[in-house]
Amino acid sequence: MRRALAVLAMLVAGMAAPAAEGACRLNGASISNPDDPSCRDAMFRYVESATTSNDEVTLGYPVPLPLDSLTPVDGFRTYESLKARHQELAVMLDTVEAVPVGQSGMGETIVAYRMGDSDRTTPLGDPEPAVLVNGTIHAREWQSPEVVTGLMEMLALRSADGGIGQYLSDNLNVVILPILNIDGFRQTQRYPERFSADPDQPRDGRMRRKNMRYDGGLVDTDLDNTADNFQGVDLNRNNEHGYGQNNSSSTDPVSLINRGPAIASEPEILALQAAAALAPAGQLRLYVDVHSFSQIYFAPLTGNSRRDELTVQLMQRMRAVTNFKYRDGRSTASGTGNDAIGTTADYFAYEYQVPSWTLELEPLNGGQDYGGTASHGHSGFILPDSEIARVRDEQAQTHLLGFYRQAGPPNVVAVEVRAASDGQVVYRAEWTGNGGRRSLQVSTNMALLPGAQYRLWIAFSKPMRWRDENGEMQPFAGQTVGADSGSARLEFPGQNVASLPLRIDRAAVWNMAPGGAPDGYHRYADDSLSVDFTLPANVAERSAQPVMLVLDNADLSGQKLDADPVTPVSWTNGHWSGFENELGEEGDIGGLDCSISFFAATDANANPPADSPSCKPAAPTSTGGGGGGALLWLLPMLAGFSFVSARPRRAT
Amino acid sequence: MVLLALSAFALVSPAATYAATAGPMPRAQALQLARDGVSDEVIRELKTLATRGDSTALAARIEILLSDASLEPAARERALETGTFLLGALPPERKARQVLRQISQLEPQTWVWLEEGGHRVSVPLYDPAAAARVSERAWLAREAEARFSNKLGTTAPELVDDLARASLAERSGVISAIAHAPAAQLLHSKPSILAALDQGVAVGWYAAEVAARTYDSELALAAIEHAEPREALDMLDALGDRLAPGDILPLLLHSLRSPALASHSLFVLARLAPVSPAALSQIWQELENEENGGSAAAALARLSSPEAAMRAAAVTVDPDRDDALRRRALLALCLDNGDAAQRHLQLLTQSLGDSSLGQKASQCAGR
Ligand SMILES: [Zn+2]
Repeated sequence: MRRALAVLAMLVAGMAAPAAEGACRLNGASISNPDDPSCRDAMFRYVESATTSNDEVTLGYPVPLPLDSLTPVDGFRTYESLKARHQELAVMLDTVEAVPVGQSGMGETIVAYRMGDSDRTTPLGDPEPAVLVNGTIHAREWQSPEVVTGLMEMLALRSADGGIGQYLSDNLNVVILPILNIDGFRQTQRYPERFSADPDQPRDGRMRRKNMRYDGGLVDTDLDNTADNFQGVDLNRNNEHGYGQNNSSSTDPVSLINRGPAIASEPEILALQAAAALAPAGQLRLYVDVHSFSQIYFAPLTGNSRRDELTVQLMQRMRAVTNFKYRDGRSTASGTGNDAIGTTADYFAYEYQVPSWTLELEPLNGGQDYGGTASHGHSGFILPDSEIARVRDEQAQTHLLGFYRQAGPPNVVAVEVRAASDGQVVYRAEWTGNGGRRSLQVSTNMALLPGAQYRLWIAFSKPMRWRDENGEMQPFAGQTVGADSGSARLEFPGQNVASLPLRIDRAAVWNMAPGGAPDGYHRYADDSLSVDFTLPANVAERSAQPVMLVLDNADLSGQKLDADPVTPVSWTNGHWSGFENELGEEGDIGGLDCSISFFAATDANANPPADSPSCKPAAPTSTGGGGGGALLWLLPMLAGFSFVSARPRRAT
Repeated sequence: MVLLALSAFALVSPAATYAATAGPMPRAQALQLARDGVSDEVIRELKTLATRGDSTALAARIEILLSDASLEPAARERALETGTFLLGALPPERKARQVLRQISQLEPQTWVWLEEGGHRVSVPLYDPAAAARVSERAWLAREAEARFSNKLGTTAPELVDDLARASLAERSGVISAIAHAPAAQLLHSKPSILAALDQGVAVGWYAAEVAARTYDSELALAAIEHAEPREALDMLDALGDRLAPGDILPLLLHSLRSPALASHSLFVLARLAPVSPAALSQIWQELENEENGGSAAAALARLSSPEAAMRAAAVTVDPDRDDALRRRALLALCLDNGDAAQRHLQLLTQSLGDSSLGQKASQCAGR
């Protein structure tokens, strides 16, 4: 109510004073008269209404005041209740682990949260990859803790959803550090309506950016004790890789971008590194540092071309979720790898060669985007209460997709074929492994009979499709893979029989109920499909012959299949490894899966043929000759059946 | 150098709605252009006109500014923004309206780097159009305040419909009128407001504001049910400070059953608990509630009392209580920095051992 009551009080008052302006002499991000009382001691107050008072700044909407609530509200939560929310999730759920990673200058424990199941191994036996999200490095950017807490809430809520959330819980280690600059953030919440110095370069109180440390001590929390109000270190200039370079930080302790006395001199930065170690750092595949404002992804390009390309692809996928309203801010010195400035995004991009960026949240221009004022270009740090719930939701969706994509490309994990007549399993195979190479365990391999009907069940390593709240299959926001995506066919190598297309490009084939084959999903909703077929009557007329399953599919973020499940996909030096196309070539794109073959014979008791086919062409040096070696039959087939055109184009 | 700056600008150019005439510049440079002597003089002139209360004369002077090519764009924008705020504080004469309308069509001209050094993205330094829209809303609010101030206490049949139709700006005016109206008078319209809320008319915000002003519990209950959650939360906050525990408790019992309000309500209860045994007992009751239990734990932690810590510890170790409840009791200790809670936590880590609850306890103790 006090918010509401203040609405107009100032309007009729204070007509004589000039508009708020300060007496600080700006020198870039610094101030050249920091000891001048007219600058140092100047105090201002944000108000909603049009004001002409000289110590007030008009926002044009109610000034957000932090509110105690563990659950999200239309507005911003207090530090205490955000922390309570994080710990609530950690204590209540076995999928959330709270880990102290450091201590702020003022003695507050900095806590990172590891989200996901307690083991570090995927269900397929591989080491879990990881992502790291950092929040609230800059104190005044209140959008950040809300959005990052929103990610935690989304993951917690979904951790047992049987679908994409469950998949992430089982397969990805999500490390979240929601509030890094605790001391600075608490200072902004002590003075939610006030700031010091100058509306053109607002400083302490609500507009503090830096931490509270400086050479010789800690900034006093009393805003009116002004001697130290300009002090503090910009934690986003305190990192290795670009520290002190490219004219983007300062040694001046009163500068907004004071880099601190040495690389990683600040306890908060050491805490962030300790959080990365929880991943562990070598397993990282994404780093996001959440800031506001200006609605852009500042993505450093390191000059590692595959890393840079994958970074841009991921960024574009995530930007698409909110219809590209966030801007593409890949670094301007494109790919030269020399414009780092010591941000945390620089650190993770260069040190670990993972996609990494500074995400600047809404607004684009400032409070004027929501009917407020520009406030000398600073109202954007003060998002209206009424907007934050939407921003939280949008970013939760965006990161759900990003995490899902970086968890890794899909691969086939199991296939089963049953006879329609009696339900007998005639083929069953599963890819198994324990961290190294996988092998295909074929538990049943009986002859399929020409002219007979079968049900084919194919399971993938991750949920492959998205459904809306009503259970209708839809492309995920901004993505293209939907019910009508993907194709499959049966090939009959060595026989003069046309391939048999399988209609999997429809929602009905995907399994959204548990139970496994023949009609249920494998591990996660929509990770498997079931499709019926009739084997052509003219196959295997003389002898047992292979039937090869050729699958072209992509996950809901558009990532294609790993064509060779033998080598698990991993992330190495800025790119995917073990991610092959159908020709067996490693890359970052994937391709057709031809790893599964069953066989056909007229005799139900026939033995399988000796060779199993694959998409790979014969080795050029091979002489063939009808033995068991090179699969010469495949060469004409490659020409005849559009394998060449189906081959994905390599990124440039 | 120039090329680099230009390409940076092209990359993060402002949204299409804002076409910058010149590229973005350092803030200090923009300010030097904006705060020149000429614009200082113009602003003094504008203020003099405003002090006289002559809206039309002020508007006329601002209109000249609009096409005054002798001013630097930055200086003109600075003066326009100031003039616009001044105009918003005066009565909306015809000329003033016309000029604000004109200003509200302007696009910002002066773009500055949001951050000096580092990430190059630009924002407008001034936005007179945005300021004009704020001033226009201030007019709307004042008009609404005048229009409604005589009406709020009446039983006029059209009052409810008018309130339901009020824009956000007009609501501000109504809220201001509420602040100045005698409380008893405001309650005359209570029956019609309650009836309207029952029929789904969107006047929950009004009920919340009047309840906060009058402490009327019927209106407050109606607001809990019908107002937007944030309006109801702000009302509860205001009432929590002003009402006796016996009067606010029944309201909180209702808000505890609303998912959007429950968590904050528990913090309001925590404020009352030191003087209200009923409030304290309600918090303990909510600890058992699956939805509200986490917030109840946070409320208990805020009390930071040795008694609460002891009881929470007793629940945590009790194998007959359900696992979720024991975790919530543990959470209350985790969030409580008091010595008693921390001592109990240490003991719990030993007694609970390597159980999943024990692991959670040691995670807390580690902080
Ligand atoms: Zn920032």
